[in-house]
Formats: sequence, structure tokens, C-alpha cells
Amino acid sequence: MAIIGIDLGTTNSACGVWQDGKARLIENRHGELLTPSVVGLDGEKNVIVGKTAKHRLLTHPTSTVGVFKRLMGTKHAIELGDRRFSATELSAFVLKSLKDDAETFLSEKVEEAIISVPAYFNDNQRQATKQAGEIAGLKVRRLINEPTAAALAYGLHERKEGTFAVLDMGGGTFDVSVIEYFEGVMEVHASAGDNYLGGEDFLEALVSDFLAKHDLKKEALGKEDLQRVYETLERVKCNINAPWSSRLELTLAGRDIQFEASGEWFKSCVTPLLLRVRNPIEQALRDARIPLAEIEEVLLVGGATRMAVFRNAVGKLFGRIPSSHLDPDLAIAMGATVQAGLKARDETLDDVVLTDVCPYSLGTEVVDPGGSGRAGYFLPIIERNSVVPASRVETLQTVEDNQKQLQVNVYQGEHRLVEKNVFLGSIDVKVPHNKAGEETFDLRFSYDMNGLLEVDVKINSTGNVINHVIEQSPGTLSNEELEKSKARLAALKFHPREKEENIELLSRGEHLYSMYLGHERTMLGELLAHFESVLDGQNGTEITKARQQLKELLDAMDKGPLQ
Amino acid sequence: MTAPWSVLEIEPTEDKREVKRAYARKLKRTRPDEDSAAFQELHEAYKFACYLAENGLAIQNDDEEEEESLQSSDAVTFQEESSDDQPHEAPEADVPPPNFQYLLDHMDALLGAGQEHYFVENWKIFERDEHLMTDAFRISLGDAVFARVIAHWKACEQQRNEPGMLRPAVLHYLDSIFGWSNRYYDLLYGYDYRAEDLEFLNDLKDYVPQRASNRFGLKGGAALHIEEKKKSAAELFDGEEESLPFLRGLAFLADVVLLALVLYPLDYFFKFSAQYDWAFVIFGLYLLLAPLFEFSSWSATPGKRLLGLLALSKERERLSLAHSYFRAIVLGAMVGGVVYIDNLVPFGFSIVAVGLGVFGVYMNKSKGRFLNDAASHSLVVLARKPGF
Repeated sequence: MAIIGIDLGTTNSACGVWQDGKARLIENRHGELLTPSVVGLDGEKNVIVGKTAKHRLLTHPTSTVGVFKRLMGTKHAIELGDRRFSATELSAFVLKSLKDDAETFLSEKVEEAIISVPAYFNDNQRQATKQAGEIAGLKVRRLINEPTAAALAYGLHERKEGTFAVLDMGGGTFDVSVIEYFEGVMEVHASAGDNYLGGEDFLEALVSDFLAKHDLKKEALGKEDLQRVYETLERVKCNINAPWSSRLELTLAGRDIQFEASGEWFKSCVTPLLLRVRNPIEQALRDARIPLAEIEEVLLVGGATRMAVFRNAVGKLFGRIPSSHLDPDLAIAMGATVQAGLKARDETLDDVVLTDVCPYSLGTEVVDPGGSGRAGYFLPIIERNSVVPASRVETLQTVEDNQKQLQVNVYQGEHRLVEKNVFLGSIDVKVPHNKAGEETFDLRFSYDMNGLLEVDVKINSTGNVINHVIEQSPGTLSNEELEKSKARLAALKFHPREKEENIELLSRGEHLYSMYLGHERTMLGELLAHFESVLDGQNGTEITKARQQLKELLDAMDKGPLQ
Repeated sequence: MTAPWSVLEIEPTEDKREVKRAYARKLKRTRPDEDSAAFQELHEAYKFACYLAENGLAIQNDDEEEEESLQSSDAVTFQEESSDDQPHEAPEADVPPPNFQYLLDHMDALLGAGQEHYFVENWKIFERDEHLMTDAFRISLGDAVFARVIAHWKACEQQRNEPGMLRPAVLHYLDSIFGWSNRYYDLLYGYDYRAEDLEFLNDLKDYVPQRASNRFGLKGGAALHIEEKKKSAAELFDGEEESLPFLRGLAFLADVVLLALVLYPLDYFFKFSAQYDWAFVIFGLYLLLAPLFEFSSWSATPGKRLLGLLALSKERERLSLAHSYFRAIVLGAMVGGVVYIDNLVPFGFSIVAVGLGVFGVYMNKSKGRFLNDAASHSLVVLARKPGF
């Protein structure tokens, strides 16, 4: 049975499978490799995923949502129509849709997957991603870090040895990994990142500045207006590499607005974000203990790295031009697919081994080493960027006379105080009565490649060992909740694949309808109404004919004034 | 052969490539996902061997040779470093660092002008300087700004002028431009700051700008609710819903009216109003039926459902059947108790009035949580849109 590799992105997702010794990406139902990570509900409570849903963002803003990857591992509930979903459940819809596409492509059942996550995702976010896979009916064999995946795709494709810096700026996150490839070994030296820096933040910066320039408030604009601003500026962002500036005309809150979106304006908006790129790069290089001069190549992945301003900034930082051998949108999916092939022990990949690191420090809460007796200090046990699987042990002692038990609180993070770090779980252990400091115990943390943390406490005087696997952490679902949400989502239907294309066309038409004015608008309205009536007639050949006609027209209109 | 060489199964060597080749060879037999302990041993040996090879410590034949190699490797790294620095410094020497005095003047003006410096907007002038992308400029400007930040902070502390201090949002913004937290040791040893002065940099690293949370979900346009489990139930009502007691009263009234509407036609056939008190029958039925509704997936009686209220356990989870009946019994006992005492003493409705008074005071203190809720470890919240 095949294992598929999935890139579950903030804006776009993709999947692939290892076949005949190479990574093969799978086309979705629209014949495209990228599926937008957008989920919506239609009137009959059918789930709509991907391109169709993306078109509905403008026409049905209250029942469609995107950019939910940022909420993974939190308790935020997202409202779609009158239902509420967690980010995990929404991601599960996207995964389900990818799984269906893969099943059609392979004509066999797909039950196992490798999913990529940003290197800087913490434990809760990783757990949530795994659970999203489970809800979608996929057993997640491994989570792979996105920059690692990209390097894997690159290293295997080019067969080039050396040390690379991989910069991955996707829709929502920015990751840096320093990776060395030699003799078939892909060794990650260090990863660092910023979970709130991505293409969407650039867009957000443009929108805020645009609205501020025109004295408009986000709250004052209707959802549709706001969505239109986002969409227009998104287009500006995508075309910003062109040497000319684009002219925008918008009608917002009853006002006609004309705006000249020039390259300088764009640059002035995004400079603070570009400055933030620097910190993770410095951290990764420092943790890897590799001087800048030894970095042979800088790889860029993720759609946001297409921006010329980003490339220039990175070029300045590294003192060399970043390479662009990889397709920034697809490299991660390719890498995840390679990992899937590795996992299946495909013989064409027999000479490749991947070693990765854990991006955050893992540790426990201890009492102030200075002697004040206050608790709340963080003692790292597995330091960040240690190679995984990692196992480290630290000997600790009791702090009070006749102390009856130990409370081992496990945290993840870099701060000196535990309250600023992410809580992962806790264990209570009984200890024999004794004077303070007389009882010692060994605390062992073992972190495996699947991101599972095992904590062993060994009481040295009795030799007792207490073993505990940290699984349940706040923000993720318990088994019971997982079952519940599986059942809840099973009640929702997906559109049958054959109808999907019609619905996609219709929503695309509606989307265009709201963009155009006058004569074109009327014509489009008539055509859409005609198409709907043909659909009702259920005559196969007529539907195909009408679909073709509508599609041609929409393609022509879709080009827009900016291209 | 000793460790690490025995683990890698090679002779001690100073050739790093040799070490890597050996590591790769062994790694293909001890995969990290198959034998975790063996992999860790191998990886440690590899790292150690690399360290020995890099520093010329691998072969310990002769003390002199070792020293020599140490020196030579030092010399090499030194040369590398200096050659590294040259391209950085060369442009600096040619072009004098651009003037940033105007920025510092702006900063002084901000710090002097009351609350102006609270707003990150007012600081944005820094990022508009085009030279900020060059290292030398950013670092020297950053250090100058940092010195002013520390001086300002000390001055505020001395005058006990807490409102005058810089906000975390502003500090975070400045840190994101100048990267102070990455230059902790440069700042600590390069200038005569004390470690306490730099403490705040650690906090900044974990500061999440407020703006980030407003932005979630905006693109989809979907309304977003933050539903965090709060620790104690009393906190739930902090400013959450002022009119909650009133709404609950209305919900109860709606339930009673509904019950009466059902009972009235039945009464026509069975005539039980002749035997029992109307109020008693309706309240008894309410106590009998309400828990069933509150246990159901509605988590609310029809009246509560209508007004968007939910009856939940103290942990904000759905009530179990036993728990919801416990809730009803507590309510019944409380009302029954008050009525019983009222019947014993011959002061008319005064006991009811006292009971209501106690109840009112409690409600005021508990911010909307009724006494019977508290006694039955449950609560009622306004958690959904009103209507069925």
C-alpha cells in the first residue's frame, strides 16, 4: 500500500507519491498540482475544499475560511455559517480532499501519509497536525519539517553535496534550516523560524497601509469590501516584481478610490517584515556552529520567496545570490514524497538517510538555583537543535525535608522562566521520606523522530523507574474528542467528484460577477442562470457543452486588467 | 583503537571527509528510526571525531606536532576570519556611515512628549531610513537607541514614573528592527551595562504583538470566537454579560409558560388542579423535565435555548444526567426550604424577602452566578446565538 507525502500549507497544499524511483506529484480534481487550503460550507451543508472554496471567499465570506493553519494547536473555534470548527478539523477537510485525489490517481486505498510541518511548529501544533490526519482517515507515519523536505528534494534531485541554508517563507511561517548533504546522508544541523512571518503578513501590511492612506477602518468596511481589498492587493503583491506600477480602482464604502501601487510603496510597507527575516537566520547559523562562509548555497522555497525584495534582502544577508533551482511551491511536497518513499524503504532510496533536529528545547520546572526556594525556573534537558532521536539525563534532588512526592512539569521553549514556555504535561512521583537534597533522581527525556516525548524518572535510592509518555497537551484533542470529531465530520458530505467541476465554474462565475460591471455583468449573469438550468436538466452532453462554453468565457474574463 | 574511532570503525584520522564517509557508511546500517540508542552513540562519536579532526587532536603521536598543528589551525582560522571581515569593512571605510542624528533627535522628542511614545506608529520613522538594511548603520544606530532606552528606563525608575516607561510593544518593535536580543553578549560586554539592565531582552523574545491575534481568520472573513478554558467559573462573567440574571429570569418564565400551555388542556381532562396547587405542579414538572433537556445535546431547557443560554458543569462541559438531576434537586431543596421556613413562621412573606436579599447579595458578588449553581457545581452561560 502506498504512503503519500503531503505538504499542508497555509495557502496551498499538495501531495505526491513515490513511484518508479522518483517523486510524482498528484493532480487534483481540477488537474492542478496545488489545492488552495480554503474550506467552505454550501447551503446544503456540503463541504467545499480548494479552488472552488477559494472563489467563494469573496461571494460567501461568512461560510468560507482560509489561513487556518496558523490556529493549529489552539482552542480557537472558527465559525462557518452556523457551525463551528477547530483548525484541526478544517485541516482534516483539506487532507481528506487530497486523500481522495490520491486514491483516484492510484486507484487504491490510501491510509498512510507523511505530512510536512513548519520546522518551528511546537509540540502542540505537531500533535494537532497528526490528529487532523487521523480525522481524515490517514495514519501519519511521520511529520517532516518543511525546510528539511525541501532540502531532501533538492539534494536528491541535484545529487550535489555540501552545506545549504534553506529559507522557507510560505503563507504563514518563515523557517530556516542549515542542512548538510554528504554520502547520501542528509543531516540537519539546525532549524529556527518565526511562526508569524509569511506571505499573509506581507499582504496584511499592504492592506493596513492602504486603508490608513485612505482613512478607512477595517471595522467600518463590510466583509465583502474588505475581502475585495485583500484580493486586489494580493494581486498587486503577486505582480510586484514587474518593473511598472499597477493602478488600482476600487469602490469602497461608497467612495471611488484610485491608487498607484508602486514598487517603492510596496517596499516601504514590507521593510519591517524583511528586517525580521534576519533573526532566525542568525540563530540557525549560530546553533549550527557553521560560519557563513561555509554555506555553499542558499535555497529558497515557499511562494513568498518569489518577491524580489525578499530575494534582495536575503542576497545581502548571505552575500550571494540565492539559487532558484526549485519550484518554490512544489519543493516541499516533493520532499515529503521522498520521505514517504524512505519510510516505505523503497530500494531506489536505500542509500539515503535523513537525520533531523528538534527545533525547541525541552526541559522541566526547577526551583531557583540561587537558593531563594522559588519554583518556576526552566531547566533545559534536551537543548534545541539536538539531533533526534535524542535521549538526555539530568540528576535532580528533593528540596524539602520529608518531601513526599515530586511534581515533574515538562515544558518546551527557550525562556528562563517556565511560564513563558509551552506546557506539555506533568508527572507526579512518590519519593521516600528523607532530608532535603538526600534523595536524588535521574530525569531522562527521550525524544523520538515522531516527536513523541518520553519521560523516565528513576529514584536512585530505591531503583524504581516511572515511565510516562507525554501525549495529551493543551490545545490538542483527547482520544474521546478525536472520535467525536471524526463522527461529527463524517456527517458532513463532500461533493461528488464529477459535480465538483460544475460547482467550481459556478462559484468562479459568481466571483467574476461581483468584480465586473455593466454589460459584461449582465451577460455573465444570464450565462450563469442558463448554466444552472442546464444542470437541472441533467442531460450529460448538454452539460458538457454548456460547461465548455462557460469555461472559455470565464477564462477570458479572468485575465483581468493587470496582466 | 579507542572511542570515537572504534565506533566509526576507522583509524584515527585528521581528514574530515574520511570521518564523514565512515559515518555515512555506518549510518546506513543503524538508521535513526530503527535503533535509537545505537544511532545516538554513533552520532556522538561522529561529532566528537569531527571535533578532533578539526582541531588537529586526532593523532597524538608527538606533543610538538600537536602544538604545531594547533597553531597552524589557529592561524588558518584567524586568516579566514580576517579575510571574512574585509569585504564588510571595505565599503565602510569608503563611505562614512550615514548620519542618524535626526532619528535620535526624533526619539528624544518622543520620550520627552508625554504619552506619544506609547504608539508604535510614532516610532516607524526608524524603518523608513533606507540605510537600515546595511549592517554597520543598523548596529551603530541600534546601540545608540539602546543606550537611550536604558537611560530613559533608569530615569523613570528613579522618579518612580511608571507611566513614562516604554511599552513592551514599542520595545518589541525596536528589537525586531535592531535585533538586540540576538546581540545580548555584544551589548553586555561591549558597553558597561549590567546583566539586570538587559533582562528585559529575554522577555521581548516571547512577546507576541497584540495585532497578531486580531488578524486571525480575517481573510476568510469568518467571525472568530476565542474560547479559552478559564480557570475559575467566577472569571467567566467578568464583563461577559451584564444582563445574565435578567435573561435567566426570562428563560425560566418562558419554560413555565410552555409547561402551562401543555398542562392546561390536560387539566381539562384530568382535573388535577382541583387537588394540587398549580404552582406546585408546574414547578415540580419543571424540576422533573429540565434536567432531561439540560442533559440533552441542547444543554438547555427550551427557554434557555431560546435565549442562547447553556447549562454547563463548572468545567464548562456538558452535564451528565446525574449531574443535571443533582442541579434540579439543589434548586428544589432551596426553594422548598425557603417555602417551608416561611410556612413555619407567621410573618407572611418576610422570609422569602430575606431569602431574596441573601440571594441578591450573593449574585452581586458572584457576578451573575446563582447560589444553586454554586451548590451544584454547575453554571449557566450565554454561549450561543439566541434562538433554536
